[in-house]
Amino acid sequence: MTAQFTRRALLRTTAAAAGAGLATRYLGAAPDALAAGSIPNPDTVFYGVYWEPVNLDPHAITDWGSMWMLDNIYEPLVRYQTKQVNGKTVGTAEVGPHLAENVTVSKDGKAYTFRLRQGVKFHSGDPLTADVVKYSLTRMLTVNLGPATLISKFMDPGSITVVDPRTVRVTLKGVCPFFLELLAATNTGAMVNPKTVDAHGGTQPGKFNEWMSRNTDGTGPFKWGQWTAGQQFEFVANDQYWAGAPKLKRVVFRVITDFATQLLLLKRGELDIVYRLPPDMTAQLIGNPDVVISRDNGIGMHQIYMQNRTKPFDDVRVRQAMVYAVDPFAINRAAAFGLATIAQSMLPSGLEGYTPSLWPYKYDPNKAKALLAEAGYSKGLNVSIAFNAGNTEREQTAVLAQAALRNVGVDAKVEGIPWGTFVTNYQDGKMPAFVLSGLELPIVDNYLNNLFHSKSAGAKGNFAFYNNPQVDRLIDQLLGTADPAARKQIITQIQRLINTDVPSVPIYNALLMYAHRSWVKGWVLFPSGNWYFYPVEKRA
Amino acid sequence: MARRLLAVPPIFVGITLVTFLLLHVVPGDPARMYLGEGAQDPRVLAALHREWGLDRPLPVQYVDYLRNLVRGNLGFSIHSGRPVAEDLRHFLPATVELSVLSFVLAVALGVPLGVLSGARVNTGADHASRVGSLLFLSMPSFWFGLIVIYVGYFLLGWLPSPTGRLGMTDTAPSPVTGLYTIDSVLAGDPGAFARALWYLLPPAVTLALPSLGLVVRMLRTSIVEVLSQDYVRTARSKGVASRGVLYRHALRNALIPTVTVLGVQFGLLFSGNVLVEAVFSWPGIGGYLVQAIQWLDYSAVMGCTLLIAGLFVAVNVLVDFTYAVLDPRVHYG
Repeated sequence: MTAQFTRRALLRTTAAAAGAGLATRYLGAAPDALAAGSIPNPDTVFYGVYWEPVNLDPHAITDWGSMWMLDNIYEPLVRYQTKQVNGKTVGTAEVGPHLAENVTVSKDGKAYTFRLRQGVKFHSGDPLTADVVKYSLTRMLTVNLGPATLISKFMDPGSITVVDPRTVRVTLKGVCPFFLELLAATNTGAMVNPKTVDAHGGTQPGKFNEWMSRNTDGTGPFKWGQWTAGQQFEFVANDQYWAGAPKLKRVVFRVITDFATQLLLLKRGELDIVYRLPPDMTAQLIGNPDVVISRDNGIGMHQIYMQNRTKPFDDVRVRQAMVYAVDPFAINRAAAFGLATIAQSMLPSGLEGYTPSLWPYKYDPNKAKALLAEAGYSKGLNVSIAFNAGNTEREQTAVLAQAALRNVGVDAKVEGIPWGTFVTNYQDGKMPAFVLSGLELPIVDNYLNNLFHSKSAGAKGNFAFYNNPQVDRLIDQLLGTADPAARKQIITQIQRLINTDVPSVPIYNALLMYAHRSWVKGWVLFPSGNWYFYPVEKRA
Repeated sequence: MARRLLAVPPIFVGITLVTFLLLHVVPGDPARMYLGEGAQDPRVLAALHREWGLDRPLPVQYVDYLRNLVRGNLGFSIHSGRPVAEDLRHFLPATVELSVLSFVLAVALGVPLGVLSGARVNTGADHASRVGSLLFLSMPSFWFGLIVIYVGYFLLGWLPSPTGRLGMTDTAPSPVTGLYTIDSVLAGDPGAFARALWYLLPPAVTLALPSLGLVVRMLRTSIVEVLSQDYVRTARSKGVASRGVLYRHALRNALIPTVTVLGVQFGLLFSGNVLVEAVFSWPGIGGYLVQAIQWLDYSAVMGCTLLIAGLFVAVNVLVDFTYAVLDPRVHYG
């Protein structure tokens, strides 16, 4: 149609369309239209996000958002499993077969043999073979970003043998009790198509592939669809998926940076799912029959880090006094609307060996005062607590801690610091105390090594610059121990030590929280933070 | 005129220098932002520093930037993962559409209201427009935007969803200019045109209000002043109808200060609609710039600053031309 655009005609169509828009919108807005059970766009989920992926190359991504997203497009040999609890499906941190049909481990715990599932095809049509596995793992080791740096301590490309077209063996250099858990992460275990990668620039150490940063060719239930930067990106169903086509035709990620706008869109049923609205907004949704709040503990801790190298926090009594002085329940109520699980260990609750009964602390201002006096601060103490400006949860935590500390004679200054400066400052140990809540892989060895080993002080994850040679030794010992009973014993020992030393003030377990329309079914949370759209559907 | 244009290149060099210095004064490391919040490998960090030239002295980094800039290379954005030039091309049209429409609204409504107010001082119409314009001027526009969304969209359902340029299930017209209103016309799709305008309207009105208030107030003051001038009295005594006096004699002269303000306003509409863009999820330069600043994304911030500065310079040149058109006494040799 080559419409003649005279000014008058234009005005007429505009007015008519605007009028029609008004009418349909107004009628569509009537609450009973939704209550009547009609679900808008039943084969598409609209997901409100405030972020966009930086990169789609699965072996080069390091941010959680991209990893969780790409796990729907690329798949690993083994993956986190679900279990049934009271008739409900819940995600676990346990790893089981996925693209590998089964995995056998040799007696010495070093050789892993993967038998591949048949009929798995890349989106471009090429089959998954043992050669593909060797290529993908080699590529991950070559790019060597993210957890690859940890896995490369245990294997190199020479460790991978193609036994037959359906069988691959990886022979590790030493025992690695968490090898399969590492392989379950997208940025280590993702299977990529050698033909596609080689046709578009191949692999370079330490770098992503230009073409793959914008295009995908995985084996997963969804393909990458259109991407309009700043506005939306989408998944399109892979109807040829090895386990059958997904129930949804599309998943549309709408970039909505303002949380208040996200909340309104969710309430109106235009968005189906949103991640982690601020607590005050989540509170508005409690009791709303159309919305389900789904939450879980992530592998991480919402905590107040203290700079263990310098005064006053180099004194363990001062650190313990902080733990006694701050009431985690009050902070949970205010900063997380009571939705989080209070910390009862330096370890997050989802990790192997987590033992809450070992936690010796409870809110006790008098004990805090006594410890401070013992440390020579009976006349009071000045500290500062930083948070990244704009993060209300962290700000509330800092402010409540400030109030609690005033009760024990500690004068805390609360500082909001711009994000970029904040990150550099905590990695360089430039802030005496700050509020942070990170996420880690569900691997206790990795968690302890990153957060508590003196070799990780600084950017590698030990932001408290904690240093206890005994703990270092035990962590090193744990990394090479496979026997579950022996591991349990070592983890308990470490837990006792770090609970006593409290390099930071743990408040509550990292909170993974989604709000979704009640018509979204099959949405399951995993401690790793992963989410999968394959089982998701929209129905009443 | 030529002299004015000659001043442009030094202005740009100055802008790059000041922006560059300001960016590097802020403590922080873009490479760490790029690698994320959690644990990082120092070797990877060092490799990134080398690759991005962050390990080199500041003056060398600056000269490198200028050298690339002259070649038309604006660098690479670490937060979007794309070349900055590509990002600017992508995000600019949304901002242009929004700014131009709100500017047109501010002028089209502001000029008549200002004239009315100035010509009928102390009447009911004058009071109403003065109170209104004061309200518009003093109200933060993002706050007004939130009210528009809450009442117009959420409670009443009259306005489009605050989801940027498109509704949930809409698709963009095939891109030619990137301006949805123009592309839809080029594609001969009146429905898409109406939709583009429909989604554009709430943020544009929100953004227009403060400028509208300013235009009304400026123009009212100038009209009142001009109407008391000798030449107006002369025109009146010659027997020119009061309408003619108002439009031919008074308005033309009264517009000069208003045009100056409008020039600045147009530039501000481009750079200052960050918050309005955020509440309406409008995918424009503002949101991109905010992200870039948070990520310490040097190249992207520089690119945005240069673009906005370029617009300011262009608008100022245009304003100067407009003076010459409005006032025959002004001409540039």
